[in-house]
Amino acid sequence: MEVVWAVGQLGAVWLAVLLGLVMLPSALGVSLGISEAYMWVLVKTLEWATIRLQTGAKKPQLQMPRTPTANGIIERDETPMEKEIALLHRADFEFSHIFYFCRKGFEAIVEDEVTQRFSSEELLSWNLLTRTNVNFHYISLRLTVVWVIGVIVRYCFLLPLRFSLAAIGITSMIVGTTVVGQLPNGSVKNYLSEVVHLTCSRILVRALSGTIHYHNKENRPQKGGICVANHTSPIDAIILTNDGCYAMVGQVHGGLMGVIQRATVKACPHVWFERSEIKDRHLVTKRLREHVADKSKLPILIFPEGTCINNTSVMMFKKGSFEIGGTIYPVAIKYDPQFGDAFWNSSKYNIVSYLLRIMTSWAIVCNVWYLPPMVRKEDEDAVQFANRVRSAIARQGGLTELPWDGGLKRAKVKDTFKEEQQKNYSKMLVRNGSVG
Amino acid sequence: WGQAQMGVPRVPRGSAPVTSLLSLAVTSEQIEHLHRRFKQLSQDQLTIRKENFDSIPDLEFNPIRGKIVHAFFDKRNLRQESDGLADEINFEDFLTIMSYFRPIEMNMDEEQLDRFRKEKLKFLFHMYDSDHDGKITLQEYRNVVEELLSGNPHLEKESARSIADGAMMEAASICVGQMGPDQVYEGITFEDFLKMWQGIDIETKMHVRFLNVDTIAHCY
Repeated sequence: MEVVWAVGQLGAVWLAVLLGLVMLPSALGVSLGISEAYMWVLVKTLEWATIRLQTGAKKPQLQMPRTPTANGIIERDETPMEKEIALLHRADFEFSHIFYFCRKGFEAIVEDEVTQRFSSEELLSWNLLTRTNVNFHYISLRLTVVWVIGVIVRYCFLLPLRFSLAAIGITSMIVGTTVVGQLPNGSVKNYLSEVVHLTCSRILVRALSGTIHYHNKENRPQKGGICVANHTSPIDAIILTNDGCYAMVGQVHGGLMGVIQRATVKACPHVWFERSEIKDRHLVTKRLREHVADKSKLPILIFPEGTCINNTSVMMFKKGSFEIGGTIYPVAIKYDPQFGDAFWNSSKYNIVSYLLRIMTSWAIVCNVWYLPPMVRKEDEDAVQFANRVRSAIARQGGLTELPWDGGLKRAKVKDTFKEEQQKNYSKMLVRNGSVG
Repeated sequence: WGQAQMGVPRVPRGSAPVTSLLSLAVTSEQIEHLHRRFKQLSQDQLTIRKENFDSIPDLEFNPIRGKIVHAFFDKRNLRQESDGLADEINFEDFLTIMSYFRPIEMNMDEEQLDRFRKEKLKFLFHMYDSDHDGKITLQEYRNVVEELLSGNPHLEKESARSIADGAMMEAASICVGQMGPDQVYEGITFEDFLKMWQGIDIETKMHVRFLNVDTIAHCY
């Protein structure tokens, strides 16, 4: 009996603490500075660990600053095909040509640009998480002790804390939006719905220990526009809604997700599609167009890559989003992998283990850049416009642009792509006058 | 929560000490990288088959893709006594093939350089000589040219042929000198092949260079 009462009291205290330190500031949009203090301690610890690793390593270090977005482990010779073959030119040219393709083939086998985007980015220095300990060797006892402390802190303290926050966040979202949904349509309803959405987003961001820096807030998406961003994980949506309200676009799911979707759509005009409707591209475009045309509705949030990429590059944007019309507000999101890997490798982890990994990382740190709005020009088609937007996002976020399709995660290269390359080579041979 | 050890990831047991094969040029870090790549390609199995190379999008572009993949399973390249093609290769074999593409080192002497060059050229030779008889015949050569030009639907087979024939004549003139009208050129042997490459330093062209990936301080 007494045990039950004691547990009850503990639970009440816990809840009160969370209410005061997290929920209230979220609702009011202020920060108590707890996250900042945590991050400061974390950064100091990781710096110390890095220095230990460096001094512990026996070989002399080359002070070559490898940029975090440098890709790959092999040095690629970027000489274009024509130049390289001209260099090797002799009378018996085919023999030398085989070199070029041979080497390219081997480079592709050692490492290809695409597959590496579908696995997590490698870290330059160990961040005291077991999961990233691939390259790093045992250094010292002190480091091990710190690592053990880290494990205890993360699993025994942070994980339950984050879990309860997440639970509170999701529950308040469902309850809040259902309540607001009962009100008659009008400005009061819109205002309250914004408050509810923002508060719950903020709680969820705190649940992930998220530290987000927003840049260029003057370019924030306006009503009646379309917001496009690069896609790394399901959390992207929460990161963005932390700073503004958007109308989400997506497929109707079952389970908890479905409950959230049904509740939120009552309060705010999100666009949820049935599975059957998604296949019909015209229907989708029509509905989105109607939404965008109504200037009083919130901006739509779309991720045109279609799948999660590992945040070192931006893959091809699907042109569908760019055919709707209206103003596009590009947003670049770049996560800092040192504190926690946000990338969802859906072929390796399911959503539950992914969330577990996120909640046992140190923190989610990211930068969000709002880019100036873009409109499709007269002589541009959807694909060119999509590429233009993609370049802007890639440039801002320091990501590389790849001409590949995110669908390559699961499928093979389209034949049309292959033929292009081979046509180039044979055109070149013919031009050299070797025929006839 | 995964392995709690913090040791160096191990090369799989069951493969002979790898360092003996490669003597010097490949560092243990590079071996780790290649091992990770091997696991990716083999999908965590111990061996790779030809089909595993289908998962590389970049490779699809390559017109001589078939020959490159073939080279990995060619027993002559794997330094095995027998002839023909292996069905599957393990990590040690994978490294053996990759060693043909090591870059030259500063401290190599003349003899080593020469051996190095011969190894690489032998690799190329095997790529051409598909029936393993030690000679590159006209037909084999035509095969290679056709593959190189296979992407272009506008280029007819005739043109590919004439390119091949023309080049073969050149090769013959270099190797055998002037031929009489009735002489038949049987094929390019390895010695002739070596002759053709005199003057071109393939050592600097035929390699894959690894970036230095040591851990460095990355303080904020």
